[in-house]
Amino acid sequence: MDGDVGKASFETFEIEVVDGLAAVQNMTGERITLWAQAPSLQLSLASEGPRDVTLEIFNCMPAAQLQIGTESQSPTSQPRPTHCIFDVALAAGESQIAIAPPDWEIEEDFRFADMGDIQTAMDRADEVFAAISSEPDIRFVMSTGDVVESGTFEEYELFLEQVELLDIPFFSTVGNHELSIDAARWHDLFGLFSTHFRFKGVDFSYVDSGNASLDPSLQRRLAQWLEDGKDRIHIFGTHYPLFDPVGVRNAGFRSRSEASKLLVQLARGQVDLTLYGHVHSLYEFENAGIPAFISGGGGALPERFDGIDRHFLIVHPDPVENRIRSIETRRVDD
Amino acid sequence: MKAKRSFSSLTALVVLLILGPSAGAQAPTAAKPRGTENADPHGPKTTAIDMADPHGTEATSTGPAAQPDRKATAEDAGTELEVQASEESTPRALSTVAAVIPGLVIHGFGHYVAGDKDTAWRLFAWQGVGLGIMIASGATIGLTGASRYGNELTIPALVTGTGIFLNTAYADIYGSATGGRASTYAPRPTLSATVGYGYVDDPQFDYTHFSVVSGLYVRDALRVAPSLWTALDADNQRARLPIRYRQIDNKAGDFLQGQVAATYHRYGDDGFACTIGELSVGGRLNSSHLGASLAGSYTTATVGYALHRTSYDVAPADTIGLLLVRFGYGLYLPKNGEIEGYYQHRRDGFAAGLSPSPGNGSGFLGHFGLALRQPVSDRFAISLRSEIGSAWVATGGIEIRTGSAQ
Repeated sequence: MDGDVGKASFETFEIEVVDGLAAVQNMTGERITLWAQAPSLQLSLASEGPRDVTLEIFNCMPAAQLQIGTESQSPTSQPRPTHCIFDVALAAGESQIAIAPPDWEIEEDFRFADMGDIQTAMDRADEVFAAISSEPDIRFVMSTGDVVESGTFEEYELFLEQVELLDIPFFSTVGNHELSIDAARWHDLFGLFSTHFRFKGVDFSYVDSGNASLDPSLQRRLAQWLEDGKDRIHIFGTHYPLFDPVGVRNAGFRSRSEASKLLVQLARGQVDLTLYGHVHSLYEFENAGIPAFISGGGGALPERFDGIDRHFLIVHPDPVENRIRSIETRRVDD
Repeated sequence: MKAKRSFSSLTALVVLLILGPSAGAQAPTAAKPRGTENADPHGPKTTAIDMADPHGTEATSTGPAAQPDRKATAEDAGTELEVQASEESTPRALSTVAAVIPGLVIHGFGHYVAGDKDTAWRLFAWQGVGLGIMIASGATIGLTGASRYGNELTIPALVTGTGIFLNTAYADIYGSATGGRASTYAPRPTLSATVGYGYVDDPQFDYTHFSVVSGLYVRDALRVAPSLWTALDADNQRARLPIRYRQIDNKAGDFLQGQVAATYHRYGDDGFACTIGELSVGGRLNSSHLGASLAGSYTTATVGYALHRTSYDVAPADTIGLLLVRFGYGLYLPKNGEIEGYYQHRRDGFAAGLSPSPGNGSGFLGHFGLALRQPVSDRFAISLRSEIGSAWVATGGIEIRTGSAQ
């Protein structure tokens, strides 16, 4: 399904988001609405004639600029930090547009938040988002999925309300709960199940393991991403831990052999950090020698007696020094 | 002549499975016991192993060597079948339907309709036990958010409770449909070897075809059952050595055994290998203890713990625990055969874990399987197995036997 994301047309007007990194939520001859799934977007628009178009980007980076040719422009309006509206004059033919913050290719250290598993706590997710927004210099949130409990329209509507409290975008893969009712709903609203992008010299691969496994076709894409990011900091996220460190509970991949095979790939790809959700607690361990965290503290039924409760991680990669400087835990309810 | 008799035996097997009520139909009602004539309390000791089982933790056992002239097989029952089938078909059909609707909800209902109220109540009571364990353990898991503390108790309890719950449903259907059957447990000879073929359909791995060889050596209470899977189209090998000791073995098919096992599984093409050391306790119980109408069937269960170490070619190894829980329900077949459906909670190996849907619920289950062993002569038996988890695994082999039954 990921292959169809980011492509749409209206009569003879066409758009394609490179690598499907944004969902086309709506399109007319004059207006295109996108949900961004990455900090930087590359768009290819084709129009038979000149056309004035409004590009409305939800979940955009707060400092996003639109670049078309050599010209760069700020949003025409920005109702919220993550809601960017650009008015663009397109020439006839194909136009290449980039939408990203100006520093997205500058290799320097930055911080992002990682979280997962909001599910039934969506009505309190505003508290988590407020806590994240209160952290200085966080560029975006990466989510390992299980944003919703059962994937109803009402849940997604509530999520869209709550996520407006975030001052930074929320990029997420899916968990098993997004697949409960209608997996296509996620695609329609947000786009990809599995995202891969590069930001400030750091590679991110957040992949769909919603059925406790990786689709073989996704594994082929992942192999390419791993190869591309071999010499960089590469952060791998997915919903199910490959191995549950509590082996008896086994809340990991449904096949330990598959998990082992994938860990070999990650190790060969020199992945620097693996981030998981699904287990509603916080675990720090290693798998195949790669630092690993399970952070399922979005508010879903918590694991008891762990002294953790709602939380998120703040990850500080440094592409210059080629290392993860720190990973800190922030508890929401302290 | 033997081949012909074997073919007849297999035919009878199929007839038994399809027309359960008719096979061994020697009693007019479900309440009457049948099939106990072979439960010789002085018979030879029993043993358990299945070469084709990639884990070998199950408690299956059967064999032809000890009782080649057993009574009341399907062949024997064949002539009675025709006579009695019409007499029994209506009440048997009614009780069988009742065992499904509403019997799948109220276990024992089929027996109740058949007039076997004692067995009905026992099944209902055990359903309650299973359900109670399920609810208690499931609620504990839910309320504690699957806390890291106590999984060693709660998850085995949940799986075992589910096994009890499901097995009472199977038993009700079986007893209602058959009224009990003559086929009983038969022990295995002291020495046997099996050669066979294994097919693994796993989209995550390149291997498909395997040679499977295994053996069984029985000496008193001790059983040693090595096995080796070798991929024919890839670099993949799985060697396993379980050693079992039976503490309780009443020779009628009930037993309790402890098992230690070591497994080495090399994934040469994929750059890793698994070493598993395990300790488990398992057993088998003839279902006829609950009612004569359940004669010819049995329940199995295994609980244990393992350490699972994954060594990588390019990275430090990982070692984590592995829960071993298994339950099954099986039928003794004519000519000393057995067939058993089972659930295996472990998620290592070839079959690993089933994803029941594309979405929620993935990642908890192990795999399901169906195993058949059917002797075709005094010296040979066929062994078939199919498992469905994250992969589909099918094996078939010929077992060669020698030695006296133990």
